[in-house]
Amino acid sequence: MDVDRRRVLQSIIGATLAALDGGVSAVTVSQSLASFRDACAALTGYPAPSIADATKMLAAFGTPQRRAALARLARVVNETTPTGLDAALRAHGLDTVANELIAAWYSGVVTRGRTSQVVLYADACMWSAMSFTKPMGRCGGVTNYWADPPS
Amino acid sequence: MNADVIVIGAGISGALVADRLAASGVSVSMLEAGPRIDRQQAVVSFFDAAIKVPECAYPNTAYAPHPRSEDPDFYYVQTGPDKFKSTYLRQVGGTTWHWLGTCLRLVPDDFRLATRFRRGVDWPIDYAALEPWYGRAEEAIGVAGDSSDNLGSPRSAPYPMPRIAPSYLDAAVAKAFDGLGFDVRATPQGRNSVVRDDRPPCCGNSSCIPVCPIQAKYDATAHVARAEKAGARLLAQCVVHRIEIGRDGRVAAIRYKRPDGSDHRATAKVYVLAAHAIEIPKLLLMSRGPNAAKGVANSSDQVGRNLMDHPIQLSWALNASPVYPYRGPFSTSGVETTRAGDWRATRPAFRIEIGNDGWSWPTGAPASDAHALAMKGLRGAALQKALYDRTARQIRFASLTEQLPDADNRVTLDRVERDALGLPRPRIAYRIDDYTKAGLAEARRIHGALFERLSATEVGHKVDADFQGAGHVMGTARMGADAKHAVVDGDLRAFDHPNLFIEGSAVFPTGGAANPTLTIAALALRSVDAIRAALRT
Repeated sequence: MDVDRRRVLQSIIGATLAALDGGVSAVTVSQSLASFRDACAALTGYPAPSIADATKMLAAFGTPQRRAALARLARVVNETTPTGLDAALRAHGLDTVANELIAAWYSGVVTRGRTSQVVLYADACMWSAMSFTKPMGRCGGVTNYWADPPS
Repeated sequence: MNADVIVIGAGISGALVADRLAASGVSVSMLEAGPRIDRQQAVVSFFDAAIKVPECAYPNTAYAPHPRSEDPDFYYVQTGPDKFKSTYLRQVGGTTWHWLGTCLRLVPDDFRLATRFRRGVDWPIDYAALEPWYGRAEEAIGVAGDSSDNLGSPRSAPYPMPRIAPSYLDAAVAKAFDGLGFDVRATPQGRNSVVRDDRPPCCGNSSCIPVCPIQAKYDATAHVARAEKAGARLLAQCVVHRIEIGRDGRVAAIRYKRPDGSDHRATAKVYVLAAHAIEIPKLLLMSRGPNAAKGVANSSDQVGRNLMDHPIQLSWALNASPVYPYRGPFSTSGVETTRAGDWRATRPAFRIEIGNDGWSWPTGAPASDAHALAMKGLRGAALQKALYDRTARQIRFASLTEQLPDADNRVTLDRVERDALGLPRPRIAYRIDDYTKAGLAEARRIHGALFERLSATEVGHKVDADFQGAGHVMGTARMGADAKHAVVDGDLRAFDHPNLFIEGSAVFPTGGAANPTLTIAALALRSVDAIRAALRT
């Protein structure tokens, strides 16, 4: 990710978070979502999620308690090369929120206190990582395909 | 409402009886407490559920609530000392919506436990009497199996469909059993291996529990639909709360409530109670009256007693190499040779089920693994690799153990807690005895030995009070040879009321270690002739 792109990312995530507070126009929100998708792609290692999925995730994950940390996370992602990202996140105390966001994308679940919300199911990253299968509840192939190892 | 036969409950036994009777021209009405279910909505509910327990795909209505796996105190009022952990559904199609589909027969010794081992009681019928009906039940459900396999239950007819193939995981794990005296065999299943009854073959959705999205797995809505097509009338959302007994000892009518609280009465010549093994005793006990002082069908005082399950020893581990779970039906193989043997005098029968569902049952995987690895700081390619490696090696065993009938394991009516219609919630006293504990311990020992042979790591066992429920609720309206010690006879007719029949696993005097649904179906089909005879008298 080049520096300009990161800078845009930083500003748009901030705008998205501000938009969540109700103070930014619809156009800005749209741009923010696009950039949030890119940010999540950088953290998960997968292509950017769909606008619909990103909207759902941002709405569920971007709680008032997390918004400031998410804005800082965007800034750090923007200013750091991929190889230095882990150290930068730790140095800024952002490793936990980064981990939580990645956990949410992989599991599809956002946990707040004692409650858990399934934001994504079939599009959760875990199913892509488990490339030997597919989401439970989806057809896997012809009858008895499970007798053979995955191709 | 009036009919020749009123069937209370639209699960597998009620649906089979209704179908057979309606097909022969009998006027049948089915009353089901819960709603009809939309399959696609159930799939969406499963996807959206944060805790993916067996009931998660279905509505839990205020007017016909059902117990929940993640909260054993939600509907049951539990007095202990152990928690009763098995659940059921109240809806059209019943609990077959989330059954695994395992279609095992009991073994001959299961019918004569007292005679053979001085444990429990004998059934009033033997294996030979039920064997032809097992075959008809396999035909009705549509069971896929290997007829050449000896599973300890002699057969007079082949399975109606070729077997469901064992999984790659089964083959990998089966090597650990070599030399231990256990035969790993393909499990007979109520799951299409070919197109049958207008239902598709299994495509390995791997969500058998809680819902098969394509109905390759049999559920009782198939026979509800057949019954309706044959002329039976289904009334959903009708909670039967009272059985009226006349002075002549016959059932005179039943009363039911609608979700709005309105009360209705219905009459028939014959009544078939097929409402699962908790709601059946609840209804019989709620129906105390001038002509049934201890409750309907309860002159023996056995209604609600002898509550049984197949308490499960659940164990899991990481195999040394990938076995690729999360593919295919939840289970395709198991060990059945542990269901029969002379040792049953001292410890129970059990069967070992090999799971294809990774650690979804014991740990909530794969979501729990994805979360845990991410929280360790893994991201990108490292996280992808770690998650693949971990989930591809997950194995689990579940051993279902026999539980003996115990009169103190009992369903009664709670005097305080009520549901939304004002009906008592079931009060449950339940204890696992030393006999069953010995079986759980033996299963745990075997699981551990198998994991060791597989060089597996991260071994986990649910121990002691963490035994799991199998969802096999049995025994609360037992079948027997005489009215002093049992609720129904071998034809499932209530000793106290000649026009009342009771279906389902509630009538099991003992439970063996086989999943009960096929036996429920066989008994239901066998009872139809007696029901027809009762109509004539």
